Amino acid sequence: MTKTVAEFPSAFEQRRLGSVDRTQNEKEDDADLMLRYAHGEARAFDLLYARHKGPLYRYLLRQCRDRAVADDLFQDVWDRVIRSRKHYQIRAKFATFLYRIAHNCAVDQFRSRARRRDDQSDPVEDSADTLAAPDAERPDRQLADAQFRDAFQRAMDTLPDEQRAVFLLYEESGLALDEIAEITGVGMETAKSRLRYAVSKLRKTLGAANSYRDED
Amino acid sequence: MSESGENKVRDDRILEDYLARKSALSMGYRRVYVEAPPEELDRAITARARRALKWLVPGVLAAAVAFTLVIGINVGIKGLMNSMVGAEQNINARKKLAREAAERARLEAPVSVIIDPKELSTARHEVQTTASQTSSQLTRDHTREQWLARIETLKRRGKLTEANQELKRFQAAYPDKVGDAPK
Repeated sequence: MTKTVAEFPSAFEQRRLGSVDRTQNEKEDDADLMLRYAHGEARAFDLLYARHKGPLYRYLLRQCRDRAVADDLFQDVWDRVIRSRKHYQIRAKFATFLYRIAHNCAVDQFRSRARRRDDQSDPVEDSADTLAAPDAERPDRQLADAQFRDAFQRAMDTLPDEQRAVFLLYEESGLALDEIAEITGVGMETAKSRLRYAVSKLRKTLGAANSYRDED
Repeated sequence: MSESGENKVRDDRILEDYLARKSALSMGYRRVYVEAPPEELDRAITARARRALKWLVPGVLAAAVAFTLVIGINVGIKGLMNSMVGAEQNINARKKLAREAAERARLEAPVSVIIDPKELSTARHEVQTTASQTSSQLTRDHTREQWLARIETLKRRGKLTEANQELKRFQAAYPDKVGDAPK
């Protein structure tokens, strides 16, 4: 049965609350790890890094669309985390803290790249073909994944930066929409609206990839 | 329902499915995008995290040593000050006790007076002089009539020697009044 618009917020809230419950332990664990690292426990940082490195790296890679830039930003973000250990306080989830840093770094990078583009008119590198292919057992599956990845990358390239940021944050950080709204510095409804537009555009652009289309 | 309304409802449903992470879009994304940072980056970042801690341990140790030194110096200075103040108080207390003991001893000691004969003679002379002066003063202070009446009284009582001495003194004092003296 199709939900009406009036029913939607409660269903959304229910899902969001579920997300908060699910991530409550992670928040405590991550924050605890960060505090332990601040007190000199290197192993705590290793655990924290192992937990967040993949999603954070993919977020930066998709946002920048340039592996070298993403590598630099990735190091920069973790450098800031390391430097901030002395002043770290548990005010929010560690993921919120981490992705706020990452988002700010990415935004700064967009701005400097935009300035360079204005000066030099260099095209932005499309890194889709430079990305590491996922492991797959079958060659036909590999081919299908590679085609879908290219299509996905092209679809994401058509998104405005703000919509792409919200989509990637939702996919990679595991944070709820209100936390993503906080990271991106907008209201909850704005973040939700951006995500709705992003999802709608991606679905339309990826319409040709039939095997990944939602069942309407 | 209008077309835009239907689209809105459909988009909301799609978003709801997407937020539940059940959509094909989400699953497709997670299927093809599985990159991880290169191992060189892993090593560089974890090494940097460890290097940051290497400065932490000496820093903490240095801070602990400095703190201990400061506390030690502070305690030492306070102790020295206290001992100096204590010594001064001790000295004052001892002085006070000594004064009190001396006063007590003075009050409790038997009274003994050593009299120098010379001083005694001088003192006697002073007493006599004072008495004589007092008598002369008394004489001078008496009126002539009173003196004569006293001589007369001495005579009536039969103290003739004493009366004669007084008469002589009267005559010495009032040579012009010899005629008034009793016979």
